[in-house]
Amino acid sequence: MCTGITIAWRDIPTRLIRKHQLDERIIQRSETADKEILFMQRHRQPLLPVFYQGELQILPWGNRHRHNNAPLAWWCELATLQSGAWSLYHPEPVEILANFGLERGVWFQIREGIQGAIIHDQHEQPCVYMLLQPASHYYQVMTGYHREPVFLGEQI
Amino acid sequence: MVTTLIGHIDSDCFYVSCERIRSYSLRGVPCGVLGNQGACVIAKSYELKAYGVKTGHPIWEAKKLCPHAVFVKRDFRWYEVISRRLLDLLKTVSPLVEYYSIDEMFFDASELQRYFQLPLEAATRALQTLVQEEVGVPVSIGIAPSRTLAKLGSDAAKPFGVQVIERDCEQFLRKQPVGELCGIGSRSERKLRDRNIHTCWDYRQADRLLIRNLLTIKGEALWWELRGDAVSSIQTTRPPHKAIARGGSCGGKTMDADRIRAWAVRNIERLIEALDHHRVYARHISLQIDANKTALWLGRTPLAVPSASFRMIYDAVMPMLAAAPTTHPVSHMHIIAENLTWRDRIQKSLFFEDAQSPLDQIKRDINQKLGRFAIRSAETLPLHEIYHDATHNYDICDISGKMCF
Repeated sequence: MCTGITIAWRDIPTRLIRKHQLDERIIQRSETADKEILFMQRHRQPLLPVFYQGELQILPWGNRHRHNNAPLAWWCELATLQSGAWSLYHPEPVEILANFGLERGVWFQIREGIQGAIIHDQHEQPCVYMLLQPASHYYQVMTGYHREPVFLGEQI
Repeated sequence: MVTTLIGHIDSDCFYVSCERIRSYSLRGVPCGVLGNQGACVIAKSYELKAYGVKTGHPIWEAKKLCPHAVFVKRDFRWYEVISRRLLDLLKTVSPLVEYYSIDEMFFDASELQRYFQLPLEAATRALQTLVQEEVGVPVSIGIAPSRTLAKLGSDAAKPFGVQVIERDCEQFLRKQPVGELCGIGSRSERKLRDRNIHTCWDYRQADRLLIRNLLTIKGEALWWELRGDAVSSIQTTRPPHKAIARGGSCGGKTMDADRIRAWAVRNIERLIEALDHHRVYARHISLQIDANKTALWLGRTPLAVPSASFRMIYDAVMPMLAAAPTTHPVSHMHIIAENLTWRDRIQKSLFFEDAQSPLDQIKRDINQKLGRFAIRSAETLPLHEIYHDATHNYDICDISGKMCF
């Protein structure tokens, strides 16, 4: 499962960087490379940058709190979503913005982004779930994992 | 045409540079481009090279050497677009351009000064800047009186440098190991080392007949080229193929007979496309099977008549495949068409079927209209994961017009 993504630091507005203290998450792969902001599933507060309701927002990645009535997960199988199993949560589509993704220690390029689903819990707090699908042969060889995110406008 | 100055333009980490044109976020990032199966690094950026990652390294080794490296799926269609942009730009600057490989071109540099209205070295730098601005890839350029010297120059100038070499270039040649010469492999290098020939200067100063005895006429040609006498000219069109091959990795080792047959049929269909493109028929078909790079099996079958018919090539390949040993898992396979003949120069036969059947022609027409492999043999069904991903349908060998791979 894709356990982390990064997005270029210059793509995130300063107000969002300040609001979510994203400065702590800045990485740089080399001296000449652009700064990136890291979003990992294992972070204490897992977050994802998403394009939702016409603007860039930083929202919680999945749900880890049992008292919330949103599914206790970080990812959502596309087939499960299409079967209607999540319909009681009223999921909405959302675009997760990313330049690079991490899967089993392999960083790979993401051209446009990843499809996600957004669910609001009983307190109307949003949770974003990354959509997954069976991995292509290429992705499976590259990362060694049998499921891949649902990418926007491409197939790895 | 005889040219007084030959230029060699060589793109720096070409595949990565192409990816960086369309993905700004990759700039400065240690980056590797992965091959057809997603397992091996086929190109790397200088940032990744600094971590010790080499071309051919499997991804699981590369990620250990550089855990923060980013890996990109290859896209040969895009690389061809950029390569042809470079070729077109070069044709505006030079009257003669040779499309040597996807990222290397030779050109007539005798008009470079006049084109840019600058001294030679400054004009070469101006060309380098022009390529960077117009095409977007960094290149290194060598200018010299011969091809071999020009290529040595661009190799020595990497990354993003220019090197103008004159006929008398002792200092430069003394710094170049003889193994850097294009055409000198490890065996030839050993032979030369035994004769105390270590650098390109030693090679140039050696006795011509000694070089000819050691390395045949090809070695002698290099000897002349190192002295600044151009032996091979710039070729603007590709000479006819002696053989055409299609194949490669079978997507991992396999002993599954259905998958092995499916790969053979896929390679036959790709080979027929190539024969159609080059307007040739084959007289012999060879099958080469590589079992984990340890055992090699090669079969060769003559065809009754020169042909590019699926049925005829299939009937030649399948008995060879059946005869191949099945004790080792197959990792690579190549199907080679040999003894090629132009389509308009064959004698038609009364006794054998046409070189291509109406079915072959219908298949070709439909695939040209709807896309590659829209119609394909049902025997390729076990490779559903390969056909499911359209990027597998275009390989580096499908880029036509290049002199070499």
